[in-house]
Amino acid sequence: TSAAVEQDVHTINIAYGNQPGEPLDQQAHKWAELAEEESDGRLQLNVYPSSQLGGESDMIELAMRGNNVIVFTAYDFLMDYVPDLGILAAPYLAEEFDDLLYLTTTDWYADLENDMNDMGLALLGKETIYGERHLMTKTPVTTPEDLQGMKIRVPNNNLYIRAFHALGASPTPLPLGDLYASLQQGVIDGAENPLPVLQGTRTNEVTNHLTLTGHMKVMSIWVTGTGMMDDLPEDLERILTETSEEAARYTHEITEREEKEALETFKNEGMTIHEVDQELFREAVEPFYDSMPAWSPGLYEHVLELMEERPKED
Amino acid sequence: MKIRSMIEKVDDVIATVALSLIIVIIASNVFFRFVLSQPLTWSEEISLALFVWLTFIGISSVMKRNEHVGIDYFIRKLPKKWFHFIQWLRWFVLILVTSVVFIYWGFLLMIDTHWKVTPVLGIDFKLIYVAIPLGGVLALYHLLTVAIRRDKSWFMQEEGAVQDDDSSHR
Amino acid sequence: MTILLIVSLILLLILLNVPVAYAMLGGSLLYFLTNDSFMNETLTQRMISGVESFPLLGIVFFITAGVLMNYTGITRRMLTFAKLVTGHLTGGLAKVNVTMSVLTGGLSGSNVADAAMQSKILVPGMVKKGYAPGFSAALTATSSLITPILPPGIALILYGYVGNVSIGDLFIAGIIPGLLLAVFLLIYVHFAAKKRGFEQVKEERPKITDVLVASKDALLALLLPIIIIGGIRLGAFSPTEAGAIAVVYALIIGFFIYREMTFKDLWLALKESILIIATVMIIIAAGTAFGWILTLEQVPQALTSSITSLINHPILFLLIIFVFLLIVGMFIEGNVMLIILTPIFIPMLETYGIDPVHFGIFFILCLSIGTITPPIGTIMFTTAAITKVKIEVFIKEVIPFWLLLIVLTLVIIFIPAISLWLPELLS
Ligand code: NA
Ligand code: NA
Repeated sequence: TSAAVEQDVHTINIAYGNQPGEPLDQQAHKWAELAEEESDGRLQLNVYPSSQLGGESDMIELAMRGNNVIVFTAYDFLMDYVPDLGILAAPYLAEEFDDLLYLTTTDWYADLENDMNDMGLALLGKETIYGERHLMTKTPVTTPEDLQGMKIRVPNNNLYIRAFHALGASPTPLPLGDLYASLQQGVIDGAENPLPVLQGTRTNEVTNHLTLTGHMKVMSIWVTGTGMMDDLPEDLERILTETSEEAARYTHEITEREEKEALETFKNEGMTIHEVDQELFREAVEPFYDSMPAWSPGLYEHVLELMEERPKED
Repeated sequence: MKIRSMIEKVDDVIATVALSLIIVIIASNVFFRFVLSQPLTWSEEISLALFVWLTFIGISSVMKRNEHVGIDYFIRKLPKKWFHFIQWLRWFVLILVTSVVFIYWGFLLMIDTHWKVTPVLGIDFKLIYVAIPLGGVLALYHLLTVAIRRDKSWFMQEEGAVQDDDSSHR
Repeated sequence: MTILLIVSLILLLILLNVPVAYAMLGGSLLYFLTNDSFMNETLTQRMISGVESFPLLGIVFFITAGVLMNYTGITRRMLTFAKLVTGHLTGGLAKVNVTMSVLTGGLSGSNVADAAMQSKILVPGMVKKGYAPGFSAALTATSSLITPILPPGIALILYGYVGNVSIGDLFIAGIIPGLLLAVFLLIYVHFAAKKRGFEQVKEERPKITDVLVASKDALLALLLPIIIIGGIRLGAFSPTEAGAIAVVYALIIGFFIYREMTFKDLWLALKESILIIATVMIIIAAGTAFGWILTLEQVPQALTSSITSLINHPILFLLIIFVFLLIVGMFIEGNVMLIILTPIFIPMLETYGIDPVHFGIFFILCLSIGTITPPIGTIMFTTAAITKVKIEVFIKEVIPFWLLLIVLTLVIIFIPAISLWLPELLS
């Protein structure tokens, strides 16, 4: 019987850039565990952390062409394919993560997902939360004026570049791996990311100030090819999709806990922490929303309306 | 005749121009960032695009001179007839890899990237990846001409030489 | 298609004189044709991804800077300077040979290019003065190993890039081990020259005015390494950009200060550079694609877990890696090994608590030794071919140097501070 079972095993490759041990790595392993469990071993997920199989955009390209790979990415990356999706990563869009998660359940999102499907890309783990992004710098930043001309490392991505331009900084795109050395050597003046990532890249060792700007709440997403999904038997496709959300929800708590722990560590290590009036930054970033030519007209307003409609539970 | 001599030289010219541009762009970026505090956001993606061109067209330049790094120590121990045969086998592997990996698969990769553009300038990746099949075609041209000429330095064992003299190119 | 079959095919092709990069691509081609998880073009995509990397641009610049040294008059002035400093001592020219490698090693990134250059400009002079040709060739080959360790170096950039280790730290870490190798060699050639009666006709002790003139002449060139390291430390530029600055600096010296360079020279130098760059980059591209297959097949993961479960002491681990690298280093080009093995070694380092910067210096030294280890090695072939020394003679003469390098490696294994003291001091 073991031979018969083995014939049925579908092996799937899961690729991401995060390091082993990070919340996202834990999520991937949880997903592998759940998928294997619920499919009685017919789904086998191989995980490849640290960009072992390649960078995000190369992997998305492979996924789109139906290769056997699922890639972790963010909505700002998917802008290259369906521009409007990028707004989900825009600065100061939502008050809380629940607003963003609600957006993924709307018809507006379903339409965009259809556009993705038409390009050959399928979305999984829509409930993945990557974290709230803050700013770490060498000199104190308490108002947007302090940011003028500061060289801030951002991901090599138009959304981040334009957002930090709007804030008055000089956005400097660099690979995450070059971050530490560039700060140490003064090539840049600061960096931004969720706190656990700033801790993982040891940014706190080469900066003195943490400004809790909360400039972006980042939801993330797993992407694969519709081709690969269609090749799976229907029940396995369902199990893969369901367990992706289950693993995403499982990780919410871990992400939140690690954010708190990171902040605690930074405090204990004597880093100066600035609680700032985020409203000032929100106002400063407003020109950003007019500077994204690829977006549909009125997109920002429409998304704000949608979030208003979210049924609030007490 | 004129076209032929152009084809013979075009790889050197393209690769050299790409190298020069990379040097100018990166050095300028240091100036713009360090002196003017205005980093050129596009310098990285442009120089990486030129780097792809430099490498894959440069591969043809190296092929033309038969200078790709290999180990001929063992086959030089063999009788001349065997040596001769293995050099043709080597030539065949070069043709195979060049035609399939560089030209055919490189072309497929290029035409499949119609949606991909660079993040800042929005350059179509087709314009970057076309360097792979193009470099392959140029290299294939050189491989075919050495076979037609039965070029001695490719297929015959020269007396006494362990490796060709001008090793500073390696 | 089993991965073992692919690896065997690649090794066979390499033995049959197929260029290393094309052997790896040939094996990888077969892998993709027989694998249905990924499309065939993925091989080409992985190859390109090996090139599209900003840190690797540093390699391009330092190769170009190294070539430009020969066209701008920098090399000639350094030789004059080295001769004045050590030429009049016992074994003078042998010491010039070592000093020259330190001076140019601080500029150039490629040891094969350095070995070739010095084989041409130093060995004939040494033979004329009574040195055994085999000794001269072996010394030139060995001293050129200073180049990859002394910053900047292609190997340092590659290791830092693939292993995600700070290239700036690696550059600093290489300074003391590189100089230590030079000191080891200077001491050895001193006694070897004395014992074997090399260089019977000695240079006169130089006049102080000559030394001053030569120093002034070489000063601008000697400043370059200081500008590179200083600029990186001060944050003026990244290690990659430092390479572009080195090229521009060499051009300014050549065109405006020494005024020896013409546009024709520039064209020739750039053309020579693109050949070296493309030769190195195709190996990197092919190595990246083949390394990807190994990763997908979970080979590094399996090796890591089996090695870490078998060996439990860091020193024992380093010693076993040492022997392993000496053996593979003989057969496969150093940069190829760096690309394939770095991702395999890096995860193991944490288990053993070994600093990746320390390991990097050790790793690169081991691979360098491989290039002069009989029966095969790129530097060995290059110097023997240019100096027209028979391989058998070269091997006989290189053995004492080889033992010296083994001792140096052991010293570097057992005293991590040699590599780590300077980067820690400066951070
Ligand atoms: Na030397
Ligand atoms: Na060097």
